[in-house]
Amino acid sequence: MKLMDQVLQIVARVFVFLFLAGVIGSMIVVIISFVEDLELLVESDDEPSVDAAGTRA
Amino acid sequence: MSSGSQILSPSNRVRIVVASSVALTFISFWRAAAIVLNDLGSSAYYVGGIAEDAFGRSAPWFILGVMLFSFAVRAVYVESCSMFVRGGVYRVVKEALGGTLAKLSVSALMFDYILTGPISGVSAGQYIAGLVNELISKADAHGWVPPRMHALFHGTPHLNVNAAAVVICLAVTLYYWWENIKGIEESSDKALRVMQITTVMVVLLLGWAVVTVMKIGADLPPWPTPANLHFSETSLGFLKHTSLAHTFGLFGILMAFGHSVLAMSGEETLAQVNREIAHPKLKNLKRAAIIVAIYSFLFTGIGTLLAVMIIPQRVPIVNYENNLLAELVMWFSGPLLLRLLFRTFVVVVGFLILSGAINTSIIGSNGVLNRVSEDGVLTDWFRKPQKKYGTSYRIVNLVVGLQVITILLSRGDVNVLGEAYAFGVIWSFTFNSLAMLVLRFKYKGERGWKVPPNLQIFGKEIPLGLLSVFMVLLTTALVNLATKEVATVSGIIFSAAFFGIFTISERVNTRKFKHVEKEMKEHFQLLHEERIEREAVGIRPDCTIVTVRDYNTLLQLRWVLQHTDTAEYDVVVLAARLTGPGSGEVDLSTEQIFSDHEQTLFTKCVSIAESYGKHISLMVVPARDVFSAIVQTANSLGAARVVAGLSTKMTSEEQAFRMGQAWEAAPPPKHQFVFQVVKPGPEVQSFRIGPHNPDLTTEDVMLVHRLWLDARRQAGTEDLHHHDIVTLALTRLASDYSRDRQSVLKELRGTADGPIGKTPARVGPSGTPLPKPITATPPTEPKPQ
Repeated sequence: MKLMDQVLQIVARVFVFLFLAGVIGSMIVVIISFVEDLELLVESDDEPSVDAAGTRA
Repeated sequence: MSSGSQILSPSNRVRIVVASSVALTFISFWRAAAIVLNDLGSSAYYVGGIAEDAFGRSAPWFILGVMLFSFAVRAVYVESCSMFVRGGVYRVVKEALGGTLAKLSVSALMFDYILTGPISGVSAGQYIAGLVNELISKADAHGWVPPRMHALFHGTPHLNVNAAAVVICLAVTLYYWWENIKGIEESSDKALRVMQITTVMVVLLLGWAVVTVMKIGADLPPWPTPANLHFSETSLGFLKHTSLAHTFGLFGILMAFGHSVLAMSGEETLAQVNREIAHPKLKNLKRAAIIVAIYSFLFTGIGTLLAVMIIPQRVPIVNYENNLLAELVMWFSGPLLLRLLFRTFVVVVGFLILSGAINTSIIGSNGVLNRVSEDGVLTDWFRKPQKKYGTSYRIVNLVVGLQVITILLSRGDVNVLGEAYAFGVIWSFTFNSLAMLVLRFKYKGERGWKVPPNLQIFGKEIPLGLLSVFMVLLTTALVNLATKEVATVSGIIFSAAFFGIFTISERVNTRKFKHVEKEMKEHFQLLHEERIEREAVGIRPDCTIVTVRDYNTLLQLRWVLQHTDTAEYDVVVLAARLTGPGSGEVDLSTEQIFSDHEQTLFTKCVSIAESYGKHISLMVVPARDVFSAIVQTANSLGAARVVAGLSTKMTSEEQAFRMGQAWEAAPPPKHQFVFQVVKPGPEVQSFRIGPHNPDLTTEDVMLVHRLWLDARRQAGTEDLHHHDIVTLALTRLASDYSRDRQSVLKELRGTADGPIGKTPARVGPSGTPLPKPITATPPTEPKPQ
């Protein structure tokens, strides 16, 4: 039981490390893609698009 | 069809053109965002209560964290959509990770889809029952409840919230089961309207909450540190007997994150709507994705934060865990009546959005299972069309049956459902991100966009962003296995059952496919085309398209063959293969299996053609909407007419109306054609689709002529023609119509009630009735017009 607990503690630490590293990396993804997409949202299309009614403008 | 017969020479075999691209009507990014938000936004109603119940009042911070992280998951979905890998979840994951993991991935996705219905329905039921109890208790406080009711309930009358939730959820699920059996279509109009109403509610909710905070003052929830995490025994799951239950440290953050991951359920809908998004596709997909991300961050994230800030700590969580937003409204500052009215509004919106999620879950499950059946992983027994409505009723029955069992087993407990639901959500995300990570190295084809950042080391690209997202998802999924007992047990049983079904089906299908392939090759020449182009498929202009679905009702084909000289005009038999929204991201491919039903259908069509000694071409198009597929094919082939049998679920006028609507929505170039519906008798009714000269009665022509004659007698009218009379009349009508629409409409309605109204109302492209049938009976020698 004690051994099991020790194994769990080690696994938990590995998971925490991977998780936190992943969170930091994901935050970089969020920042870069958010800025990029926000620009897209406000910029107009060069080509004809579809309006809210679903018809081509 | 004899399997032992010799393979015919290519010239003798009937050609089946299989279009691989789905015929879609495109939607704007606003509509796409609305569809996704209908699914994603619904979690705002239950995730806050579930998370707070699991680990305490710091829950909003984790939900905000999950909503921020969902921006990154969204990026993975955008990359997956920007790739041009053919196939649905099964084929994409199979290409990256192999068949076993692909089947597991689909099983997890099915678990996610099937649980979406019960959790949404039960949550809607909880909100409704909570509101009813609140109204009764307020009425009781005013002495409006009769004493007899008091005696009956041994106090204030009230509903058993969980039991009421089960009944409401079952009622809504069974309603949508019947709608799906009949063949309901997921309308982006409806989704947009629901989201417009939801937006009004969200703005009022957040605005009123902020005003309340400013007025009464409120503390932020406890910070998301290990010391502030208070896990319930249930939320520790299998870990409750280990040392981690007491000394979890930073691991607790990971556990709490796992309990909040439900907040981003629905993100996968983004992949479903991708194929329908209008040009420029990638740009609009990213726009839809960012709208979804911002909206859900505000609604689910900030909404939950404000709820925990405003609802006093002294109120036990058990009082409001399944009614978080409703409870929040009751603690707003303002008159009670106004708060009750707004709570009713919140509940009505919740019912709309949550019951919509039940429908989405049935449609999504149906789409995914249809798709895996086409991919040969599920036997085509499931795809047999319903006799009257043509829907894959066996799949719908299976999905709804599983949902009903889940609802009954949950006994109306949202927490139990939420725990199980998280299993499907996190594992389907994990499989998808793993597949994308592997495809970065395996797939060298075109890719519209990549999740940033990507490092270049010794000429090799390291997908740092994708790897990071995958690490978060994988660790969360693994930790959830340990902390969510119900989810782990039910998820594993469910996935194992589906995995078993898929594995056995695949073996059966592999054997069958070889046989089918041989039979198809014997009698049919399969020609795969990305899109239908008239020249490429060798069809002459002005062909006749005959739509077929049920091999028992092919009267329309007999009628067309009887009256068409196929030496002069081609007859194209068109079968639309319906693909649900769950498979909206995918195409038909060469390897896909023709079901027994389709084989019988084609064989019968060929037999009929042979009995008339005439040649036909067969065509299969995948479609989300049958009418769009027919119109797009008619346009691509330059067809002069489209002939269909009478629908089992609509009149010929309604069929023509739907055809007209599809024509209006179709992208240019498009041209007019005649749509004919063959009824038993046979009786044929014809409609013109697209702009066309109106059918004038003799009286109309005479009136124009008399007016022209009279005007012509006057001086200065030497150049007057009949069309000038019509032009003037129309110009005046248009002017009257813009000035006084109602009275013009009244007159037009009066006209329609007259002699014209006596004939069956027929419908033009814009839905206006045509004066009278072009052809009342079958022509003796019909020629395509």
